Amino acid sequence: MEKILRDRKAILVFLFPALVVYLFTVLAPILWSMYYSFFSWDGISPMKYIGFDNYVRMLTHDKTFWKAFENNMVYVAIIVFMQVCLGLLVAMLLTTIHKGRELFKTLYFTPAIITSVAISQLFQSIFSFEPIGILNYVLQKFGLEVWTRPWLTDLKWALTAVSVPEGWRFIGLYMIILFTALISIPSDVEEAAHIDGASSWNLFFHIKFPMIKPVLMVTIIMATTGALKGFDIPYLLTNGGPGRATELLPTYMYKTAFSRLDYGYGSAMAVFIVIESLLAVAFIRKMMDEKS
Amino acid sequence: MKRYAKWYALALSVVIVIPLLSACNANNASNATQNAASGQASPAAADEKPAKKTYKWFVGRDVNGAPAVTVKEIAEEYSKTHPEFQLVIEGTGDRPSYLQKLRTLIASNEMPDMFDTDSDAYAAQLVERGKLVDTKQLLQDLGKSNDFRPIALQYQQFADGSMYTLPLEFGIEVFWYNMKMFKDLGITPPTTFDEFMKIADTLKTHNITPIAVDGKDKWPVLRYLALKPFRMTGNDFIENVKQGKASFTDPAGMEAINFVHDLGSKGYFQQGFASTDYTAARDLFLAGKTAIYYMGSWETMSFANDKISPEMKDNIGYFLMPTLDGAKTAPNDYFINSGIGLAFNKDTFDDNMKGFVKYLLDKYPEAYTKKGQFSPFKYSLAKMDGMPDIFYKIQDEIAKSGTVFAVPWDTRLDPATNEMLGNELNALGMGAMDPKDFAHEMDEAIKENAPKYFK
Repeated sequence: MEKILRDRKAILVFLFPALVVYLFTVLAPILWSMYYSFFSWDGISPMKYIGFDNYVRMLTHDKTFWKAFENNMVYVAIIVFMQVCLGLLVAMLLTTIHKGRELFKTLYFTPAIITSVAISQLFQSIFSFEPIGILNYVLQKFGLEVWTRPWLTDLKWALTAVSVPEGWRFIGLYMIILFTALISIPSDVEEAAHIDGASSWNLFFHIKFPMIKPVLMVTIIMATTGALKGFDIPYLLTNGGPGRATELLPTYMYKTAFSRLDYGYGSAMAVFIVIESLLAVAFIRKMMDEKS
Repeated sequence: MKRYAKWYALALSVVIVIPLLSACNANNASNATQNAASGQASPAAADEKPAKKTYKWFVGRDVNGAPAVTVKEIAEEYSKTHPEFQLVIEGTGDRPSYLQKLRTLIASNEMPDMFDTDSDAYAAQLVERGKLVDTKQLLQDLGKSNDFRPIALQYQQFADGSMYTLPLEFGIEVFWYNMKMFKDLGITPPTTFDEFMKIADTLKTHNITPIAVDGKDKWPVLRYLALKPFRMTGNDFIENVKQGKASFTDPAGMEAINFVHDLGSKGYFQQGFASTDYTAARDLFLAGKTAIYYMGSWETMSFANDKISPEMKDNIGYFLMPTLDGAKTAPNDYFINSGIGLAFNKDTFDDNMKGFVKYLLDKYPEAYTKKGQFSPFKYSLAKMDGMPDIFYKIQDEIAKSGTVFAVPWDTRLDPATNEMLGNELNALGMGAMDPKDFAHEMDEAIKENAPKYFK
């Protein structure tokens, strides 16, 4: 066994099937989308080659596209804040308790395993205005009647309303990841810092934070790319509406391809999303590297 | 560590965008399985009986609604004597998602054997590619052309008079209203649009939400956009503007746009109407929370006394589409339709299927009417006994209806403009858009999209 694992060729042979699967499931669809993006095609008529027209149209005179892009950025900001910051906060709180820790961990993790459709239904009733949902009911009971509103169709609040469920859903997941990173910090480092008189604030910023940074970076990348491809919950809750208030790039791409029957243009947007995600990853890495 | 993180991050980001990109492929995969299911039965069975063939009907209406249930029952009955025929019904949520799924199936060459479609610009494309069965010819072959109400068939036809779908429903569209609310405030049903707006205002000032509307499905709000142009120009405005031969800034267009803008921004629609779905809107009206609800006569049985709460008993009336000065259409001309049509895939339409269609057309009128529905057939409804009063009232109204019927936006526009209009109209209704900007935006959309569909 030992011998086989030391043989580089053997390792390559073992890796090969995975590579093939990867190429077929990952690279092929991307290349396929790139190919489609150079055509005008409605799904019935013959495909027509139009060069870069789809990209020109997308980048120069599609107002909805830029509106969706802008919405997507807000969506990313809310989700990354909720998932990483709140996830980290909960994880830190968890490290301070011992009794019932497993119970809390399990409870917080539960939303991550519920399907999107169920989550959407849940939040549909939470945000509901007529019949009155929990959120508006609670606001009413606290005498904040002026704050009650149909959250999902309010032009100012709809985008926040569709972002929160997705953010909330995976707090538990990031909590687990960050929690694991936090407890893996050797306790003698912490003790030494304590003895040297470090405040808990200093302890976090100068000791814990640098030590969990690689994991933190991975969580930020995961949360960001996850939010960039945000689709299911916004689509189910508001379908991009009212107007275009909650339109994200993926929902707009989907509608362009499958409702407006512009498969080529939809593919061009898909390619944009891939590039955008890769750029986001590169950007986050650069930011984190610079800080150190 | 660092190198790993780099690869991990890259792989992760790529993996995450895949589901989006492969949406199209995923659909292919699921169709493949569906097709496997609808293919021939196993060869072993073929030795004993004639090969059993499964046909799929992809339904764009409520799967538990009267039309789908009636067809299903008749198909089951037919399968008893014709074991070679088997019909499976598959439906999906709301209309927009149905259309998306249907069009994706067709784009990936997986057109269902039977499916629902309006005679819209998209269907016209399918006809042009020779993908649909000519139902006009089919009815002639089966000797059934004269069994239908003329309007029911006319509604299914394209502008050139050709027909590629069959009607399964028939209805007029009216404004249902809460009689007690009207009476308490001393209001009588409106006959003009001015009166309509005045009534809405009176209701609003008495803290009653005037109108319940289903904004999620888009088409009910689109109806409000079609009312005034129909009175002002008949169907000319819609037919012209869809090809860019008229503009939304024309008087008919601006009247229509301002009408929806006013209804929405003055709060005459229920708050948050854009996310209210079909049943929720109806329930608002039935729960006495709104005074008016515009809907077709297919909902008549939902308003019958045995279905509703005690307070609403004998409390539901209706009035017809209001009119205006200089109207080109008569008060008894309004939205009459035979619903979304039933289309057949030309490639899979065989004698087996034809036999079923004949059987279906023989049995459908009676079976459907018995469910308290108005049928697209000239089926004698007078025979029906024990129906609620409201049923007979609507039945009489149908008998009095005119010969010109209004055509809806969503069956006339090209798919791209239609998708946009549905979305932006909700925004207009919420006051998020200026009527003038809206008109210009729609003109732009038509200029860009219409040439691909109307040559």
